[in-house]
Amino acid sequence: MAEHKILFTGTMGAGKTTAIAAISETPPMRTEARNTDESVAKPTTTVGMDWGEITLEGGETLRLCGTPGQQRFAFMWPVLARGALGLVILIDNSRPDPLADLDVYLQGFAGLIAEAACVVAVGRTETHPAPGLDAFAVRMQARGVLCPVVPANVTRRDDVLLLLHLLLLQLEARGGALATTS
Amino acid sequence: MANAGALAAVGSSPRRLALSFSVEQLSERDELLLKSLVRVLDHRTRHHWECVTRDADLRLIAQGAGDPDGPRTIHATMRGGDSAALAPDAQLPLPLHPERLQALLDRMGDALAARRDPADDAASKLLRLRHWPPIALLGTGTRLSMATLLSRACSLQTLQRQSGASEQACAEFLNDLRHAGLLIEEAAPPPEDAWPAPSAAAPVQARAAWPAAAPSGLLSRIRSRLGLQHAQQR
Repeated sequence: MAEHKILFTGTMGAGKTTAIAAISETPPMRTEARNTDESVAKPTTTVGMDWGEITLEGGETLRLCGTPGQQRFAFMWPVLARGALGLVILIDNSRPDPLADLDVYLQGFAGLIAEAACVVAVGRTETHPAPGLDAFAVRMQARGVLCPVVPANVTRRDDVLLLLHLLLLQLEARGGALATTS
Repeated sequence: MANAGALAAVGSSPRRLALSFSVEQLSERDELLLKSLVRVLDHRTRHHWECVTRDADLRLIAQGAGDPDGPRTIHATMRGGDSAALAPDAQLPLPLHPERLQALLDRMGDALAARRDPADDAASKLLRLRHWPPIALLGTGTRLSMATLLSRACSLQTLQRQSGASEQACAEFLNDLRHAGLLIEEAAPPPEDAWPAPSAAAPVQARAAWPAAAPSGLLSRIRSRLGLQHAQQR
């Protein structure tokens, strides 16, 4: 039976596993280990990948894959990105330099972003409004990337669904454009 | 208005369009069967067909719904067209037969393709954003959807259909983007296969890239499962 996947990436603690849990029909399978990064106050972190899944009509599976957050696991990103429908980049706006964080993932997933769909979701904007969303858009423009950037609280299922809606719209736009060029 | 002669003339058209259809007055069982058949037949039909609830390119309407034995025929009506002028080519007898359904979809699809002439159709222009708009321009969810669609090049028709925005809302947003210097309008590229060729013909190495990687209807199935209805189904 066919399997498809959507990736969730972002810094450690940005909420990848939380986002997956918000919409997965099964509790996410996790590959977590004790966190040794003292700059982030969480006891464990994802070191491989974690995933949830959604069964589609006809038995197909949509996998929701969370990448390991730390840049030292960047070698795994191209492997995880292969064949993905799209990418959600989760930014934690409470971190010291969220724009630099964005750069890491724009570069690390450049191929997938160009070929598929991408949404940038900025979290913790209620407590950390700066940099604003427009600053992220300008940074993406400077990197030659054009995709939606929206605020998101991934503990809310509706916010996560909005992210997927925006991914799907990009894929649907592509299908419609192809039809127009006929 | 297309006629039988026009249908025959476009029968060999190589263009594969993404077209929509709606189903009316069919029993729940037959409607489900019809939709399933369309999906299964996608690798054989000359055009890609998606089911929508309104503004479809092709309306499939069961005739004789009041008949005690149930409807015996489905009439096909093209957008802005007249099914009577196409009869009997526009009729599909019940019970459903896959080959007859395929033939009907191909005839209607070719006729619709013939109506779409990119040379004199302003709607065939592709629209896209120069870069992501400032948040001040994205006041509503609909505008966010439109901007997202425009982050990939898309036609005006796709923009309206997929965002669910009214014609006026669409025009206002596009005007705002034009004034902000954010909108790129370009002629559609030369004709090629419009929609991904049937998966059987897709090269294996294309598996990693859209659209060859996404089987027909996948996006609709994801939306359906997550309760994310298409704008035109809301």
